[in-house]
Amino acid sequence: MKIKPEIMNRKEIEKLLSLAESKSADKTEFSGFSEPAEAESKFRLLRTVRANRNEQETGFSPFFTEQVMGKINVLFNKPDIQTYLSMQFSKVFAFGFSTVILILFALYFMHGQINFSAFTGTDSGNEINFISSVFYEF
Amino acid sequence: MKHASDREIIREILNGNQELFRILVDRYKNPVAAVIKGMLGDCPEAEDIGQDTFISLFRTLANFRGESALKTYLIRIAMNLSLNELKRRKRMQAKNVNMDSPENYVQLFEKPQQENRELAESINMALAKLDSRQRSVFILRIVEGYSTKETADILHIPLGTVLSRLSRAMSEMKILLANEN
Repeated sequence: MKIKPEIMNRKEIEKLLSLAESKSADKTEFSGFSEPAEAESKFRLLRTVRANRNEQETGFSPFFTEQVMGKINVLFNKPDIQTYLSMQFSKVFAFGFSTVILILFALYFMHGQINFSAFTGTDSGNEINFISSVFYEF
Repeated sequence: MKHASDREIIREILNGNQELFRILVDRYKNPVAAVIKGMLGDCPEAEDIGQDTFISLFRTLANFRGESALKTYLIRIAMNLSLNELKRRKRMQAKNVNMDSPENYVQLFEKPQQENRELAESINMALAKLDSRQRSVFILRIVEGYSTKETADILHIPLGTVLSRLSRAMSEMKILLANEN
């Protein structure tokens, strides 16, 4: 059988709350309530819940603040399209520039032996070029 | 800047000093955690909802007019997100997903000390069985000690509604705890 809960009126609830929050509430008389026994048991419930809560620490993990700040950085600091394009352009430019430098170095150290005809096998010169010399090695 | 008021910090953040938001997170993460864990229990979602609470605050910081204290505003966000999560769980439950496992009970009292373990567990179980509206009032007013007015402000409900929900919540808790024992 389901027990019907006894509902206190608002004034009594307010009174009970202020009693539960006062420091000298342990010696409180409940005779002023319409149902003193009910009021006393609810008072005990409030005090118990609060006392238990005060003994416990509730918090998030130690990395919580960092995680929040990290998410905010990702979500709200997205670069605008101009910045994004310029970043991408810089990346492409840096890659292209370093490739060109490498090719120029290679050409310089190979004394002009790397050229189009060397790759296509149509080199008609008498000197063994670099690409051919690689094949001759084997 | 650590001892500056919320308003001063918000002004600085809105002027572009975003890094100062860290102070607000550090200042209010514990009360936010208490409310969320009170509503949802000590589950992995609690941490996510805590993060979402602060991200939501950051997003709406420009709209914060200071009519209520920042803490009240923040706890309101946390409470709304927690209630949404409870609704989501209810929907999941309706789809026959087993949400009745012990880890889904509200664990208001984390790692209770041995002598209080049984009592704390009984309170956790009873709280988990409360209707979410009653639970929110009970957590804010009784467990976390917000005033009746603050509770009403956070939940956007009249003072009378806070008191009547509280009265019902207490009666339910009493019965649930009696049944537990």
